Amino acid sequence: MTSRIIIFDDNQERLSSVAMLLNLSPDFSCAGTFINANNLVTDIADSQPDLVLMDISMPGVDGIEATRMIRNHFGALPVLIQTNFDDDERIFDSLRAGANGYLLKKTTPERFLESLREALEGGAPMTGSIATKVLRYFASESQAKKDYHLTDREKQILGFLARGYSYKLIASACKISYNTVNNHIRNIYDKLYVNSATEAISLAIKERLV
Amino acid sequence: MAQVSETRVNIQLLGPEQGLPSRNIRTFSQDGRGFMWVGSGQELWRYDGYNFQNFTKILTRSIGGTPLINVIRTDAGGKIWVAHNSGISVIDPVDFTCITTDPSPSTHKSASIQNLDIYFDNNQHAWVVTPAGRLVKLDKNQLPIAVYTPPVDSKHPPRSNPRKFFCDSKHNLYVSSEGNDLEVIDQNATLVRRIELLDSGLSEAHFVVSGIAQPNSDGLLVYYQQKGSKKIRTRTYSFKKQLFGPLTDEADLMVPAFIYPDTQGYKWYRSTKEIGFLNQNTGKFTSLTAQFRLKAGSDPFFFEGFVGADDSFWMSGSDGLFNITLTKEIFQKYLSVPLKMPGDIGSSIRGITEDPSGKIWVSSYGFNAGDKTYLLHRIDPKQGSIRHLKLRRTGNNQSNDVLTYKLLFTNNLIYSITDGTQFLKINRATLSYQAVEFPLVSGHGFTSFYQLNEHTFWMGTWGGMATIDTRNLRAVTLNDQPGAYIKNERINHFLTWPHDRILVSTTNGLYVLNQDATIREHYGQGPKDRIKLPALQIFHTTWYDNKVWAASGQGLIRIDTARKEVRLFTTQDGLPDNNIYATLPDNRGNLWMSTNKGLSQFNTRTQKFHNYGITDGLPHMEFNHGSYLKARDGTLFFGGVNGVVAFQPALIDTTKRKDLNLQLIAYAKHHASLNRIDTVTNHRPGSEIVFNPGDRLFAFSFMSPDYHNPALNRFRYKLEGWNDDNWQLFENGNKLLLNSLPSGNYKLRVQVSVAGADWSTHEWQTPVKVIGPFYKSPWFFLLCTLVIGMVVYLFYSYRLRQILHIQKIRNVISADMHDEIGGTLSSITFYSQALLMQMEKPEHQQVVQKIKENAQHVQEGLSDIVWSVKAGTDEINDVLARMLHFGSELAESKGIAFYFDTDGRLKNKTLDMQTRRNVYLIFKEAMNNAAKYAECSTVHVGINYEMDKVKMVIKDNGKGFDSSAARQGNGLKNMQQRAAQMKGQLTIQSTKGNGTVVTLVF
Repeated sequence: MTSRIIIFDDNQERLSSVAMLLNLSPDFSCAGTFINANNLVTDIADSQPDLVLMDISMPGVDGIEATRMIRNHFGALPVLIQTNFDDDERIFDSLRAGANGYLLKKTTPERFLESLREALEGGAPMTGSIATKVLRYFASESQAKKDYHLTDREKQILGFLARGYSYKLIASACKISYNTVNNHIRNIYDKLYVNSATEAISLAIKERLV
Repeated sequence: MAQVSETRVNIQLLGPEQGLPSRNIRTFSQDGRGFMWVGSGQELWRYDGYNFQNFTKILTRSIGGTPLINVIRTDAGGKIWVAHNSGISVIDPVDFTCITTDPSPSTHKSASIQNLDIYFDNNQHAWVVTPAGRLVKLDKNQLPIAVYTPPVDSKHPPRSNPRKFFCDSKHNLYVSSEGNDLEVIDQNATLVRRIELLDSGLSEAHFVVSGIAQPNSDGLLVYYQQKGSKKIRTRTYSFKKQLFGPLTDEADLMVPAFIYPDTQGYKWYRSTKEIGFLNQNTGKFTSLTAQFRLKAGSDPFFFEGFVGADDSFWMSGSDGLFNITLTKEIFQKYLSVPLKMPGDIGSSIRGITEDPSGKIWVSSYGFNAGDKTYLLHRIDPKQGSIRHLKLRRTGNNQSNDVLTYKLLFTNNLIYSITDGTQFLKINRATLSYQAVEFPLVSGHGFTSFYQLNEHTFWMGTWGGMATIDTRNLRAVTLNDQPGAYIKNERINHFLTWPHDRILVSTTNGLYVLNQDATIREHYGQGPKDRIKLPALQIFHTTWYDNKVWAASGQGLIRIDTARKEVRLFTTQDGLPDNNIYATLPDNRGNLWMSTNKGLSQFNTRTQKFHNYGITDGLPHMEFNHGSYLKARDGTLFFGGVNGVVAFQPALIDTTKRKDLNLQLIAYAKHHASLNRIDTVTNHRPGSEIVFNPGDRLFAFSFMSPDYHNPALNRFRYKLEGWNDDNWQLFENGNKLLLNSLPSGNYKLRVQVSVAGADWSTHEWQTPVKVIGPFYKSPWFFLLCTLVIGMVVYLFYSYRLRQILHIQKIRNVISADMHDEIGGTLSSITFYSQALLMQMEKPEHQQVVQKIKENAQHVQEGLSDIVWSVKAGTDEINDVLARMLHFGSELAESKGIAFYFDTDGRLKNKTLDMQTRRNVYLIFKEAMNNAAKYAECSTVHVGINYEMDKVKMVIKDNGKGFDSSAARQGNGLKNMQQRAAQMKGQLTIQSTKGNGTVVTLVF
């Protein structure tokens, strides 16, 4: 059975090329293309996707806000962020909003499809510059949020990523399997998201207190 | 005899040698400030005690032509009135404004205007004598208010012009025109009456009027002489009674044309040919005519005279200007000769001693009396007489010239030391002596003499001490003796000290000696000395007011031995000279010092000096070492290069001299940029003097209206606002030179010491403002700083904005490029992929594959470009991560083992954009080469930090290439270019079959 994918992107060319590739690939079908996320909830509700490809910069509701809405309304529906730059500040924000990973738009079609497959299977793609940010973010955390601290292994993997290691290289360097690397990354994503959620809650409490 | 105070006359002639423009000076006057204005025919000059300065311009500017000056007069306000052939000019002597008017009444206008004389009456109205004997009375504005024309009738033919004017208390004018009558005119210029000077009785006795003068305000004194007789008689005329007194014989030796009283009790008598003065206290008249004849070399002719502000008498004559000062004779002189001609040498005095009978024994270096030269002299001060003596060696009838220095007297013996190395024992009655020769190495001989006790004498020498016992006359020089004696130091003076000790003055400070001549204590400049002295060369000491007063080569030292306090007085404090030979106290709290520049009196209570020089009656200025004596009656004796001066300090009164205001003659400044000197002579006292930026060498010259001896006047100044609170002496006589002053506000205060007197209580002061160059003023500095700061700030903010702007544009462009082109390229690849998946034919697939790969390649390159221009990624780690990422991905896809080692020391290194890009692209090129062409199985990348340089080595184990034969492909060439661009060194080593090593060092 094919996985239903929907795409949010303000670039029409991107939408049609990705849709065409997906529809021609045996494992995927494009269940909808949307040039903005302004009607996100209805769009998703109508198209019933297995995975959402989300562009970050869109007029109106942007990718980060959209991701947050998906998390609120559709639970664990996988969201992959699409971006032009791997050091885009907003990638990190979208990850904290609950995205499952991100894809660079320059990614080759083969790799693109592979990434989709991985994401659907629970994989979590991450590159060096984002790994650096993640490390820095957790390092600056206060003691109160101890529960969400990264494990040593997670830190190690992020460190490798930051230095330019690929998942495979990390797997061999850490003498663990490729999937384990993936699992670790996914855990990191979760922590990012949960962390950001608690931040939001604590902020809300504070505001109420005031 | 010295008690009789005589009057000393000092006549100073100012002729062309002193700068006088012409010898024949008909008229001159002293203005209110004390300057002398001199008229010489067509020119007007001013004298300030130092120079004559031409001020004719003041007149020519006011008149509009050259004047012919008849008289110069000073009015009560101190202004200068000049009567000349174009009218009357009144000059303000301070600012040199000049107003000229023509007093001739319009009705009497004639072709030739001539103003012959000006007379100021009691009301300060000016009466101008014009031709035909007319008198024009002027008001304060120099305008005629009344005219007197002498009435002419049969009895009174036209007469000559009025010569003399007198004024009574009713402001009537008594006009004399050298005739036998006086015209009495009232303030309305009308004739009141005539006074006949010669009544019939006198005429019959052949008397003629030989002169008329006003000795006081009550009346006139008319002088008569009988024809053929020199005898002078006078009649007084009383203004009040309008009557003559009886004819009386006059003791005066001359008929004065004018009588001028001063404030010191003298009256000056002057006619055109004679001059003299009357001492009103003694009634003694002294004629100076003969002295003038001697000074001028011919019969003098005098034009005008007056008593100056300083009470000296001024006179103009055919030989120039004369300034005559009278001073009371206070100094008695012995053994001196008048030094009239240059080269006259007096008798230099060695020692002075008083014998028990009060006679003063003086040793000289030779005084000629008769045809003999004497070295020893005895003065009887009571008689004022002197006897010249000769000593004879015992058993030798011939006199031996021996220069005694100091003598000490016992009952009938005189002990003496010579200027050489002999000790003499002299029989007082016969003046025969016995000599003891001292074996003094220095040979210079004795310098001081002291009687320790009845039979022991101490002697100071040029190097050490000597003693002699009169019982055995054995000479002992302590230089040879073991023990703590003063050795090899010049001894100048012995002073009896408490506790049977002796204070000795030497060239190495002061010593306190025990009775056996051993040193007990030393005062000097050594580290152990209990009292530190500011000078070591001590000539003489005296004990006065419980202190030691030491005469040194550097001034007068006051030593409080109990408190161990020392104070030095120098020329800064008022001494004429710092070399003091002796200091003797009088009984009125003064110390008298002999120096190289005269005598100085120091009041120990007021701490003020009064100095005396030649004009005060000293025979010389230079005194001698060791030549002093205070006699038992208090008379002080000082010897010098021209005899002995003796005086009773009690008779000297230093308080009576007038304290006159000192005046600024001019100030000048050098304008550096224009190389011009601006001189200002019309500075108004007290007004601010402003020096502009660029002005240098400020010079001020001052004068005192006390003309007794301007060369002796000393000036000192204090510049308030400067860092020095002390008075500073002028270094150049009356001129103060300041090289430059920092900008600021000052107050210049100047005081004068006239002749030897104390500093004046009147002082000249004026604010001085020095304007700094504008670039030195604080506000300019502030402005500059602000402007520079602003410019720098603006420049940088502009640059920064520019950079940020460029950065922004760059980022926008790269982002747009990436988004637009990158997006489209990725779409191409996606479309191509979609196409590929539908294609069956491999050749078609190949084409689409190429399209896809090319698009991906461009995308990749685009990404690199965007990365490399992006700001904020200058850390080397960022490059290394990208390199590793690229390398590992490439190697992975090709199945090559990839090793990437980096040096930890690189961590903090940063790379600029260009280098970052080049390094990455070189690495990428090398990796691509290895992956695509080398057919290698491993690639080792090592990046190290060695000797401040980064070294990157990319090594594969592929097939390699012949680097010499290999055609330089675009890739290799690109790498070289990039390396050159970043100033790095790139080497590519490869041999066939042995892999390739690419090394980049930068």
